[in-house]
Amino acid sequence: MKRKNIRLLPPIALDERQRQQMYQIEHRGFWFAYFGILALLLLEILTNASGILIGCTTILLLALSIYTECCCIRRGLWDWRLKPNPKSNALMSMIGAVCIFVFTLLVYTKNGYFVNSPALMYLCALIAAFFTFILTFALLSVTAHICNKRKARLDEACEDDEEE
Amino acid sequence: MKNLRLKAARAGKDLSQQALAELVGVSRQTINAIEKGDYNPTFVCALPFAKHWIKLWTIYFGRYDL
Repeated sequence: MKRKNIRLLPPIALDERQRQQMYQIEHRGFWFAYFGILALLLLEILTNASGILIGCTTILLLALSIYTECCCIRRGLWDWRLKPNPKSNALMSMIGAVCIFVFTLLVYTKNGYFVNSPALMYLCALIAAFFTFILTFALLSVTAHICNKRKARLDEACEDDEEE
Repeated sequence: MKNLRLKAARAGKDLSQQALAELVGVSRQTINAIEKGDYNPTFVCALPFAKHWIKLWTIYFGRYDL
């Protein structure tokens, strides 16, 4: 019997050179995160200030995200599998919104908010998810536009080389 | 060092960088990087060039004056 090949993820959209560039970015990002986490750990041991650590970890995560985004855009890369188009941006925003919806519900349940009115709890989680979707989609659209422009500029540079 | 032989082979087939890139399934920047001598592709990446009648030695040794 012939087995049906079910593909859960889209195929890798990068060629070999682009993959090497992506590996390089991720490699640097890994060491950046490694030493960042090490520094935070040492900070916690030395100062016993666990309250500041959440903020520091968030800053580290944001710095890592910004670094990865900037490096990828500089090279005209977007993602391993996705292309910078509205469809994939909407899909990713939707996944983010669902995660926030579930997370918000978990936080509310854990902290005992809206115990008497579950409908209000769901409504609040839905509002949080909606705004997450809007913000994520807007941010992804802007960065995808910048990435496409950068890619076009790199292709233009190829044209100049070709004419030489 | 520029790979002028690959550039000549491509021009001989009357293909632009974009057209060749689409034929072999890589990005245009990759073709440009190979022609400029900035990137040395692996054998797996270079094989589709042979499928389109561009000899592999032009990719690997085209930048040298043999």
